[in-house]
Amino acid sequence: MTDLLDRLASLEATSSGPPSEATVAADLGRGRAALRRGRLRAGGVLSAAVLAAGAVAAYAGTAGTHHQQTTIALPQHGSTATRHHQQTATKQHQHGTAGSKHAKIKLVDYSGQEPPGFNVASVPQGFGLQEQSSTGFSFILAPPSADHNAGSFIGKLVVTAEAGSELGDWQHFGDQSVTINGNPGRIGDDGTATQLWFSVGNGVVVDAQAWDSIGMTHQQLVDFANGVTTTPALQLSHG
Amino acid sequence: MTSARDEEFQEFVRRRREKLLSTATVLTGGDQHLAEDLVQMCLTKLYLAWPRIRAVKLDSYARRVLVNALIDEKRGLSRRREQVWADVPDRPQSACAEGDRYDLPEALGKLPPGMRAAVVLRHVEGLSIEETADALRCSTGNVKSQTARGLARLRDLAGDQDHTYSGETK
Repeated sequence: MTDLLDRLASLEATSSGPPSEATVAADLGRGRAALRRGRLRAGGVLSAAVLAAGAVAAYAGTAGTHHQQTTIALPQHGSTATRHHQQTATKQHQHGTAGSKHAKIKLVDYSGQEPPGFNVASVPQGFGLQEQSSTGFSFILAPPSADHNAGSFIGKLVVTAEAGSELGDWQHFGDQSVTINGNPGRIGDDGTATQLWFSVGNGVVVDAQAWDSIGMTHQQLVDFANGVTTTPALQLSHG
Repeated sequence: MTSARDEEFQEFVRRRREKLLSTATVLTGGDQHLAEDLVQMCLTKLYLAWPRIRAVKLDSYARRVLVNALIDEKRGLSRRREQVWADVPDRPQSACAEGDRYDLPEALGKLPPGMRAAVVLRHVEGLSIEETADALRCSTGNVKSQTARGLARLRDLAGDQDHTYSGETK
């Protein structure tokens, strides 16, 4: 036993030496590039908001506000323009955008093929099931333009069922407690993706991860999760 | 133009990158390429979050990001289909020290990522149970059970590898 602990401790001594200035510069460059991409994304959303506000104001000036809510064309995909319209529009069938400040997409009812082990009630608009990603314990929802690499989660919504005992103390993951279908959940954002863990009973925890570029708010991810149920065909991810 | 964020970040990289890479290498079971990927991912996230984390324990935050990146990577790998090859691929000899009875990094790589992280942070990095629990965002009890199970599994694997290398029957 002591031998094993000594050998483990000795692994720490392995060293590749201090980083070169080129490596430091490369790390900084990657960070800056990621920050720039995030700002460009935010800037694009802001521009859309300004344009939408201008369009609404112009229309209101000529047609009055009575018809404004039903005659302005909605963009195909979510944007702040969509959100702006949704916040003022006549009540329509949608999920979870109320109170959203950063929603870029809306949830719509799902009627496509169900992934094995799950039933899904709603999905982000324009998203579908990547069938080859369905493993019995996980599935991926993505727009048609997304790559089909099941190991890539960029721009996708990924759902995985795991044994809570293997996941550890997940009740302390994330930043905030939520309730999903009456069961406890936790939600948080690490700057790349929003992650939601929630119990579905029998010691099973489902992990829903939405890449930030999708533009789902925390509330939308919660609404999505409220529409996810498991079936007896569910398997569990291990390790 | 270099901002305060850039200067602080570069100083952190100079000071801590080597350590992060060392930790990542052990966490990945000796996979240096994956370790480098994880460290780059970790540092990018640190840069993005710098304004809100500069005042907190950076090392602790970095370890947490590194472990999360490892677990995410493992989840991705678990979704990749098994590929069938016509030939058995060549495998380099394990880089274990002379006199080692078995390859400890390779054995570590066989543990589930959460268990591996607990063992590495606790017994390779030398963190306390509380520090390990903080890095893994779990309870101290969970750290104790994961490390105990991890060490037991490593002893089992050592037995297996001894058996393999020596050609003895058990």
